[in-house]
Amino acid sequence: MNSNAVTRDIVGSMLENLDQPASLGEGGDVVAASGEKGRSLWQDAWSRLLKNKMATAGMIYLIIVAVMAVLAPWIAPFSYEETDLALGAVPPDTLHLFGTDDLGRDLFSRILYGGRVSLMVGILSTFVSVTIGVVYGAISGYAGGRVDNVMMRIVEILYALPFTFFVIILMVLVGRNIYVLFLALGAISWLTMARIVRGQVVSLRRSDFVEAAEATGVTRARIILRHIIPNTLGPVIVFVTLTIPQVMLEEAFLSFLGLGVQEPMSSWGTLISSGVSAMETYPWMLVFPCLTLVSTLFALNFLGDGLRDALDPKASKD
Amino acid sequence: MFANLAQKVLIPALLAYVVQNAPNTLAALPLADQQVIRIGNGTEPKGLDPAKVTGVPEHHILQNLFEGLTGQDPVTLEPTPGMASSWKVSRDGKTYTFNIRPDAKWSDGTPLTAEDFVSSWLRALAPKTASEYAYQLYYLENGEEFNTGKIKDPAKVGVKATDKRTLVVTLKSSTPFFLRLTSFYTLYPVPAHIIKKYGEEEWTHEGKMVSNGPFRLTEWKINKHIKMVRNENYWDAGKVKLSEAVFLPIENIDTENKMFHQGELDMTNTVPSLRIPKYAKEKESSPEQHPYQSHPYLGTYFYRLNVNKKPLDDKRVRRALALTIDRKTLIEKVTLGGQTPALGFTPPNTAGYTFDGTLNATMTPAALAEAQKLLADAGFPGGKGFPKLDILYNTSEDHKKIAIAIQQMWKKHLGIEVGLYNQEWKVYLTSQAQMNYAVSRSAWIGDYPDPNTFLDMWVTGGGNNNTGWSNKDYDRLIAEAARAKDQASRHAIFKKAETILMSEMPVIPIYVYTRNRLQSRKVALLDGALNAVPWKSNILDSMPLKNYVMTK
Amino acid sequence: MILYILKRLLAMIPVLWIIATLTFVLMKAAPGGPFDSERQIPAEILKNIEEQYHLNDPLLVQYGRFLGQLARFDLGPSFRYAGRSVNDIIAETFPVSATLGILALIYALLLGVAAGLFAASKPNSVRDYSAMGISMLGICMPSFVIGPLLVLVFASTLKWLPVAGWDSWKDMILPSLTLGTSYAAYISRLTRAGLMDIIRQDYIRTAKAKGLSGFAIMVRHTMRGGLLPVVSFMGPAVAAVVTGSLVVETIFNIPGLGRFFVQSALNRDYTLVMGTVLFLAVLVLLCNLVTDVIYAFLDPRVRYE
Repeated sequence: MNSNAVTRDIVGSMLENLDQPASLGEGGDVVAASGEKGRSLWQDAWSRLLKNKMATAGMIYLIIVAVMAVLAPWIAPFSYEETDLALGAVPPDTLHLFGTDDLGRDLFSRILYGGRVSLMVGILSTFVSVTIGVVYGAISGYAGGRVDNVMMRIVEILYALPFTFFVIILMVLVGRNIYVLFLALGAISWLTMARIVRGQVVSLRRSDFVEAAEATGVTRARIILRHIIPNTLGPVIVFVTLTIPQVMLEEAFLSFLGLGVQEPMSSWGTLISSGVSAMETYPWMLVFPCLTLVSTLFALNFLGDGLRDALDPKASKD
Repeated sequence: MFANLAQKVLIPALLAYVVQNAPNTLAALPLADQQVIRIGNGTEPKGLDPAKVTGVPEHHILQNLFEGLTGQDPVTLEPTPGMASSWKVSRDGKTYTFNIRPDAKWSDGTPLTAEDFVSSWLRALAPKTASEYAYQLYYLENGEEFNTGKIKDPAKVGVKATDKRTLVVTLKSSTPFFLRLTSFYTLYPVPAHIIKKYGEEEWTHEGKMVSNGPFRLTEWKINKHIKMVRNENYWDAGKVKLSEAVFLPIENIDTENKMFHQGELDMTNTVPSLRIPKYAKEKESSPEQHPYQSHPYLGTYFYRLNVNKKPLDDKRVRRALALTIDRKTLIEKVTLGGQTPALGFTPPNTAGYTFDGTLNATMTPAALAEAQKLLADAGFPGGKGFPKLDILYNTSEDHKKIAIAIQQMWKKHLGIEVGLYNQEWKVYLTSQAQMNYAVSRSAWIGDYPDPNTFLDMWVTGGGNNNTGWSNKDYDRLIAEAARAKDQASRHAIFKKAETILMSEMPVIPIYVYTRNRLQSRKVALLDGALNAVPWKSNILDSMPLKNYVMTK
Repeated sequence: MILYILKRLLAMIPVLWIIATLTFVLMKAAPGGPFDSERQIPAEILKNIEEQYHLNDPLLVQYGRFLGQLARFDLGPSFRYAGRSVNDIIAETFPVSATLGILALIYALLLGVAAGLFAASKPNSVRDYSAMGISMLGICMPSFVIGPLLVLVFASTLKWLPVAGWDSWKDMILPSLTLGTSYAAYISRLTRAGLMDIIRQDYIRTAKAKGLSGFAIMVRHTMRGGLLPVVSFMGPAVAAVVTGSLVVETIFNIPGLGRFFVQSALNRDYTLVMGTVLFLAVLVLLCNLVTDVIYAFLDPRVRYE
């Protein structure tokens, strides 16, 4: 249950290798100062990303998975909820590509539908965490001084909270609700984002273009919104690709505790956790959902790594 | 310290006794050299204080550490002499006189007297003890009044020691099953001298606890195991064959299953349902050798219906729902444990009582037609206009599957939309108690083998009713049954009552429980003639290790 | 430095107070109580019980009593486990989780750093990709899948190791592997990333130019700086890992502390919830402090005053 404490930090540790002020601060400066050169820098990063075969493969795979999940109602060969008790669990064949579960439901269809939930949990929770994290970090970093101190102390306090425990209580309190799940998981992971963005902002604040904007009388809110936040985009993108897999794993863990999505809906997490107990009797009930989740997380991680390297020009020199 | 002394002096003497007497009586099955049994016991017990705990894992442990006035025959469950060697019942059935056996001792060698029972029962009833099961002693005269603080004087409670060996119990009214109750753990004696020495909390800890049953506690590691060894100060220690028993709390049933197959356990608490079909098949070819066992258990799995909620306030709707559950398919394809379809609420043959249910085991065309007609009569032809209902269940893989299957059956046969809603245990209990549900998965396990434990809960306002259902005739019949003169007329009254319950259908019985476990064929039972015979669980799933033996 | 440590220790008190209060509020807000069960307890008996555990006092009184207990480091009796105090339970189960956690971390460090070194010694080679690919697998597999898989292979099939339990050293292998795998994976990636960062720096290029072999440079020059990210990772990791893992402890039936984090909340065992939450919080704060101190020793640029 405590894995999230670590995973929160791991993303941070990895991002520290971005050499915050140097690489993206530079790129950001340029974006703000003169559009021309900036675009080419992003284009640079894009072409570097495309050169990374693993990252490209990951990206393509993710697109396929996402499209299939979105199209689930049209491409799923069977209903995800209709049971066929007489059929029971059958191993994969041409009719049921991934076999059926012990209630006779087509596993391929359930994985397709489950993908909708799992990907949504991943994306929306990360969106929540990024939104909170970026705003919080930007304000803290830009305000500086006492405000910064207090805000960062709050983050420190929150780091010491056993988050999974609070998520469980929250799920218990408000009942099994998928939107609560998004919020709760998102609320777990914004802390690191806030710290990273703050670091970026602190170094940006002293940069020429912000000082110039301040001198010309642009409002603070506008500076934060127009100048500071866009310039933290690089680390945020990397953070996103690395956070989505963490959140999806966390969702699987909650499913293992029986706190996942409500049946008959499925998520990859709930499918895997029922698959584990069927491991020896109906192995396909574990193998296929697990392969789907692991390969998707793999793709996300490769893409994240690729993005990090692409956005960090130094890395590609070797 | 006493225990150690006793061990050093007494064990050799007693061992000699056992060895001399054992061989000629145990011809049937050869005994194992190591008389140790390891039992998977579900969850960590809430505690080991008989007055304070509730639950099945606690029962398994406590019944071997302690002994009440009476014991239980392991097979028939009839009361047998325990701490009381004999007893007399007054003609009006209200006064019991128990003769405490002269060789009754605590495991530290201290004599156990009638006074110990008086102090233990008063302790269980004392408000300060905060015993959840105190009501098991409400049958005593003034028991309830003392527990609720209406009476402060313990001398008024109906339990007295007239001398060291004589205990006189006065009941509020004649209670036919009182001698079964005296073997229940709330009524066990607890060692007043040890509680005084170590305090209310500490006395049950390892190294401190003293008990009076066939075994005594040696080790208690939380979430790891509870170890007990033979209590040489037990009056019947000569017959106890096991030297040590280990109870392991194992919550993950897949882990438990693998531990058994690896030889790390002799008995499991349960069996993962997905494995049962394979076991059942294997067992067909070698019925004696296979460890899989499935036995009837005194419990009913059912759905509560909230009769205050439309359209469940209409008994036609309730009956239509009950009729369209294909119980046999559900058992064969989903629960898999060889359960029996429940056609009435009381499990068949509960202490000789069987209700001939009016429900159907399989989905017959007649039942289907009847259900569809009932639903149409209620104003929902073909399920049209039927509001969406939720089945509430507590988080568990098995409850989930059953709910999914029933949801699909109702959808298919009645054309109604039913949702699923699972809640974590404590939330689910709250929802059920506050009647914040439409259909709620429930179960009832009998406290003692008697139909009363299944039927008296449905009286108006009963603490466990939770359906909102109320029927005056039913209430009257249940009250009448308590006053019945003999068993036959009592059963006749219960049948009338259950007929009302099943025509009104505030609950939908689904199946009668079985207890499924893996049990090494080494585990055997000592029968009356001290022969080791194969052991099968009884309907209360009690575990009298006193009667167990490990064979080769 | 000592002043700095003292300051940080003092600052922990308000943090813990906030956490305790939050936990208290959340616990009391959750539906259901410690003594709810399928068989309803008659109201008058429930009254006795609540009296005994002071559950019918006004919430503020309960809160005050509970803070008083905290100040005395006495967390009171558990509600679920009659006759056990929360202090007892933590004292009995924490050493088990800590042993398991430390074993897992040792394994994770050894394997992780070795794999990271291995990968970084020849970047973008087959060896780099395969080492990092395997470590990615360690990150992406949920531990509740890894555990049963290991049991299936090494216990049920090969019969080399026991399925579950906590008695001999043999019982410790599979749970440590299960718990340590994802950490090993993270550490290997951090090590690689940290090393790559250093390798690009000038003094390493100089060493290379002088003709030192890749591996020698790695060990002699880059380890200290390259492992800094690993150090900052270890702080929270130690706190998380020694307080036990629900998944691993359930799968291997280990009598550790980790099971209580979720179990106590589900049982509404208010005192035990509080005990475990605060215990974890204290550990996290202490580990973060220790990490910062070690960091200061390793990295001459960081100074605490």
